[in-house]
Amino acid sequence: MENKREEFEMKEITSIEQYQKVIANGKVIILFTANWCPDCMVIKPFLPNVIEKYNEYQFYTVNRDQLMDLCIELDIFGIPSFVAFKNGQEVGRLVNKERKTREQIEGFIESLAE
Amino acid sequence: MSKQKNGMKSVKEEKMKLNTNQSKQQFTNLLKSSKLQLKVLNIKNKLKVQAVKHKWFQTTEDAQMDTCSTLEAKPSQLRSLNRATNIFSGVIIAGLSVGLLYMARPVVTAETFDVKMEESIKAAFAYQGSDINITNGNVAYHIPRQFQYQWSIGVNDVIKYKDNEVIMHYTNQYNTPETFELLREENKGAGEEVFYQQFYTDTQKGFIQLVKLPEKYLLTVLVNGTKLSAIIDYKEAPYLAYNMLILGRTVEGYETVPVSQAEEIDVEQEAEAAIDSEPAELMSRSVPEVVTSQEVDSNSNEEMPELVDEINEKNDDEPMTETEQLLQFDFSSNKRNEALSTDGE
Repeated sequence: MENKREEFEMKEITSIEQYQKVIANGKVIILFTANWCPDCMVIKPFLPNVIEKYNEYQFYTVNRDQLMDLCIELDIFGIPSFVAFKNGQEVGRLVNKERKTREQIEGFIESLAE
Repeated sequence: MSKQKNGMKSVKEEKMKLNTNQSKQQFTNLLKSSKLQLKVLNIKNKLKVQAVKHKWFQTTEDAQMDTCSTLEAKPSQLRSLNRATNIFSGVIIAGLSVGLLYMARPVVTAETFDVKMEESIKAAFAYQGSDINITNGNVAYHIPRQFQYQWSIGVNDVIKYKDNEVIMHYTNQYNTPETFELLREENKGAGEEVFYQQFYTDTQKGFIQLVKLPEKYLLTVLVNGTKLSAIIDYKEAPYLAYNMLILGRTVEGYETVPVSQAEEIDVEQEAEAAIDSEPAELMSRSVPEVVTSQEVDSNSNEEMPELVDEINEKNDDEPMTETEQLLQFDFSSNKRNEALSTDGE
């Protein structure tokens, strides 16, 4: 069970270079978060299930305190927020300063396929 | 005659001899006695000298003995002094340790938690301050302690505590009564609920909730739709609950419209400037208003069940709920690109 949870943990992007490399190929969803963010902590428990369900995407996290320049560039003015990329192009975003429910996140991911 | 003379002479001589002998004897005796006396005197002198020597020796010995006794006394005194110092130091160290342990003791434990929280809640509702009203950007509130409001790109509406030790998250997202339980259940999904207290006064409704996360605790205070939450330590809960409750009670949000809707309004305003001839059409596209805390206040005299019933009835007629409103917002990449291209033009 624990191994399964680790398998569906998000990898963290720690540099702009890594970010550019990550989004360049395939379908990628990035979660913008921070350690102090209560709403990010609330969505954390069900994220492995979301990752497992939508395994065609690669999921990554960005700590907005560490990559503030990237957040400014991408207009990430609230956390938790999600931005989706396909082969280097942004294809969707769920960005606001409110808490997200599991239904909202899954709805966002499913909207990407349309 | 001559014989007589001779005889007499010899007798005289003998007498003389005898006398002489006696004198000699006496002299000898005298000498002897003198010698004896001298000897005695000598002996006496010797004895005196010895006595003096003895006395001197005794005096010296006594002095030495005194010195020795003094030297012997010093270590013992030092030892006792050392012992006394040790005891004194021990008492001081023990006292300090007890004091430090007393100061460092967890004031808030599982046993005292409920009492402390109750005290905090009562104190927060008894708070009557009105002078210290800080207006800073998008929200105004009473600032009872070391809180600072901050908002910037990439940061939610947050209220910082002290030197960024605790960042309190402020939103007006759950601003309708039916979301009370929704918020509670969402939080419970993140961990184990260890404290929950709902309050329902004449003017203010909401709850205080503490949820144990894997590492820390999530404290949430909801007052009339204003949600304040923070990731904290267990012992901080009563103190922060007090401050968050005061903030929640006094906060007035100027920006109650979600950001996505605000963006749409901006786009509309730009469109309105461009197309002055069609104001009616633009009005019809206006975004539904979000229920503000003031509106919740206006309903505050009603009973909670009635409120819920009323909202349920309303929901039957109008399926649009706050959650759906949030789901409907359009801030997709296309929309963003449109806005960027509009800016560029």
